[in-house]
Amino acid sequence: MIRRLVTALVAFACLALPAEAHRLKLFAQVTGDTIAGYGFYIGGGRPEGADLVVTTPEGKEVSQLKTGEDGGFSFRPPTPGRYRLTLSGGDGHFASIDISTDGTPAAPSPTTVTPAASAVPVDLDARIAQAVDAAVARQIRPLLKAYDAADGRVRFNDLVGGLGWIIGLAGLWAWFRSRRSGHGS
Amino acid sequence: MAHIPDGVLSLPVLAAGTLAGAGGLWLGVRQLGDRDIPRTALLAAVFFIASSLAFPLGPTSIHLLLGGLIGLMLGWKAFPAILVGLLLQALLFGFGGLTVLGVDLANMALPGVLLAMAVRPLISAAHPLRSAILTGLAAALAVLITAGLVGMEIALSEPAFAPAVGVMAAAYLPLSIMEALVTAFVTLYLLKVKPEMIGASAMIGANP
Repeated sequence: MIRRLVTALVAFACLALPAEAHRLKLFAQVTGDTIAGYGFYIGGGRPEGADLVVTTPEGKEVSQLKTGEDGGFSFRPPTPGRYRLTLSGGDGHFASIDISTDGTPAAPSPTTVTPAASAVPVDLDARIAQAVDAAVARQIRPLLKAYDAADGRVRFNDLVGGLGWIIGLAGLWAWFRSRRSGHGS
Repeated sequence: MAHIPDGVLSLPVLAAGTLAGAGGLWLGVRQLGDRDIPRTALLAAVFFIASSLAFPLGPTSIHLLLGGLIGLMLGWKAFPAILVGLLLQALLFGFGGLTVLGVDLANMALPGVLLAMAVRPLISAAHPLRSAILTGLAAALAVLITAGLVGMEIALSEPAFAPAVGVMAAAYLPLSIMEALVTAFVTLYLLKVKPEMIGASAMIGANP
């Protein structure tokens, strides 16, 4: 049952790696059998009223919702399983992640069909494990959020670094030109 | 906005856009003389900063593009300037993909360069107001054409992600007004101070 948390972490890792090149990012976490999260823009801002489409990994549409004021959403899938969330800002920005609510790896291999487990297990151990999962997920949620936000921030240092690059390139080009035309010798 | 992620565009769109970007870049680098280097670098820096700072607006977020202004001040040399800005944004912030760099470059530079070319003969220090209005209109139109190009490319490649016209209009119309104002004021200022920076005749009183 701790696997559910691991799954969320794996999903988060998958989100962090290829989502690098996207301007709109999507953060989602599984707590119990609910998927909750939010979209955000690198550089600041949350997409309000953006379309979020929930599909199965095979692409079958499960649900369609809109993000709230802070770009947030919450969704309880009909059966536990793997889902793909795609957020579209409506102007060509979009982000998508895979997430799993039943402990199976969220990422690629869409071959096995997982049996629909009952949401509330009957035996006590499983229920305790589920409660612990939920508590741990709740506790580390701010950390994950902070990490993701830090990952996608336009940092002042980077801006200044970019300016340095531009000055350096201009200098390089000028030096190259001066060598070619012989002004430097 | 206008920074398209990797893996969205279909191959024909990608090829056509990259060719357009490379063509403009070739023209620009060919014109890049020794004396143009500082100005080109300066505008590359302006573009890099202005288009890195995005402001949230409803379901999307907007940032300045300044394609019209850069096209006006640099002509085809806008291509190398914007390329450097885009490359740094892709590497430092992950704005837009590296494989679509040529497409993004064409989207952002081409409308500004062509429109600036069209209005440049009508700009003169003798008619600052008319010149400013013209450059403002060119800048606004450049933004809208960039938006149209981005929308068209995504719609052609991935119809599921086709931008909603309403959202596009809501995001790009205020942006085009902002850019028009910025460009018009910069034009007014440059016509007074350094008209040759925007390719206008330096002689006050000369007819266009």
